[in-house]
Amino acid sequence: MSAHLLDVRDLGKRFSRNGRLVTALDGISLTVARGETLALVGPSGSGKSTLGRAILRLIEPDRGEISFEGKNLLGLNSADLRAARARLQMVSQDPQAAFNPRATVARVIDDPLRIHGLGSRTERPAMIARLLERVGLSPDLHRRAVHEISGGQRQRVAIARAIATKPSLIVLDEAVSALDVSVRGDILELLADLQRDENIAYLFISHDLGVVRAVAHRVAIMDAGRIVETGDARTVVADPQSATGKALVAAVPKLRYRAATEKA
Amino acid sequence: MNHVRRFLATPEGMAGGLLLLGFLLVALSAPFFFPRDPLSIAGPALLRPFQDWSLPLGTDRLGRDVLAGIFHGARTSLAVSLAAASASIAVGAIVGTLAGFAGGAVDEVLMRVTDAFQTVPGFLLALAFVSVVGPSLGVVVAAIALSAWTGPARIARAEVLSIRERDYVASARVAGMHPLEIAFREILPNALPPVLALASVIVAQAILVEAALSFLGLGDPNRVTWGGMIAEGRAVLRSAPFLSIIPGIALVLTVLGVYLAGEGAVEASAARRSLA
Repeated sequence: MSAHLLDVRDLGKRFSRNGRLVTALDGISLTVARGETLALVGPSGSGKSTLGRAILRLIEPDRGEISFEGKNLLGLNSADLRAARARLQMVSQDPQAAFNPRATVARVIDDPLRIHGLGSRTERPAMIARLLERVGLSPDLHRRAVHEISGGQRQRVAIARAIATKPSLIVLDEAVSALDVSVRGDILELLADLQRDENIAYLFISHDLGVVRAVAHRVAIMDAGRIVETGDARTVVADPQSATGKALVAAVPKLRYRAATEKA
Repeated sequence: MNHVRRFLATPEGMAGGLLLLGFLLVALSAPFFFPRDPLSIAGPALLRPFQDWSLPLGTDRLGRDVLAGIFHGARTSLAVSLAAASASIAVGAIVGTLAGFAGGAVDEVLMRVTDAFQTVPGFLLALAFVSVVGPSLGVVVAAIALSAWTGPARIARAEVLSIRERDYVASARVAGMHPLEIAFREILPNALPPVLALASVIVAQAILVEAALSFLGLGDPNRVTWGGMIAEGRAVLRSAPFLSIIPGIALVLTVLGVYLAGEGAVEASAARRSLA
């Protein structure tokens, strides 16, 4: 099959909402190489989160193919899919909602290790400590409940959970959008660091073109369930060809300009 | 501790808590105060209350100590109601979780079964079950649970339907967790609080159903029960009404206590929610 890490072909998904069919994904094709960051941008409702969830098989697409590490992801039975999930992880937007409200930090990171049989019961506490250190947290944090720690710390725990099983692709669904600006920079740095060390590819779903330009290698712009433009991140942000791309880019400097004049 | 203080701050909680405390003390202390078999003859028959201070509440037609009967009857009520409530909440929570989480045909089948149980009046179901299987404490518990699990099942299902769309359930799926583990480890514990709020209603109902079954002679014959005592007294209702009235008062106070305590718990949790 293809040499790409992820190869999505002609993916389609329709939802029925109030009896009407809404096309969320309309023939999406894209590829992600190993160690690459592909940003997925688009206005809200353009289907970018749906695409992320379809690639994770959290929702079942109606048609199309997803090949991941040479395997046909949509053809796997449930046991094989659960095993394959070790290599394909997710970090979602709201670090509060992404955790069981009763969980502790240790349990959150322990789950994927236990499920995928990484390390014995006695080895796992040390593995959890190493993972917490890897994402820049104190290992002492493991005993705390997830709702007790700060938003930035929570997102680091979410990243630790995602890298616990040594994935080759992580879907970051607006992973830094809910964080405040100072924390956001640190988390982006951590993600870049992990990518360098472990050659992880990211599917970076975002609506913030400033962040996208800083972290992504390539960008795909979505609108109404289709990809309307793809290309090198800097080139696309500097000179978008599609109408959606132009609108997204135009929205950024306007906000900056307004903020600057308000300050003056 | 905070929960307890807020619970006792409500008038319902205070009154219900006191009544329940009294009920528990009576039930738990029965073997210490009345080590003899409460079904054995303790004195002359039909002794009126407050005549003989060694038998303060008098005796029944066979000369059995009424106060000992009340104490030991409290044990039966406590055992039956707690066992029936735990059983019906456990069964209801499991059925509701499976139905809500699996969806589709499983949901349809489980919910139609629940409907079927719900359409039969609970007491008739218990009555039929006990008269077929035969009266013993375990059968009475099963009979009450059989008619009471549908409420918890419906509430658990509704909670599960809303929880299963949460992000953390998606996270658990992405982690590769088995669906059954997701249902019972991630979803069920978070769906439980509103189901547990039903516990007081079920406990109160169970005490009444057990008393009614005993009144009809379908209780465990080897145990003293308040319902059985009321039935015993019925034959001499004109000459010795206290034999029915005393266990009747015990029954009323206990059920009232359970209801009030349940109300207090709901009030306390509502106060917490509005503060949050």
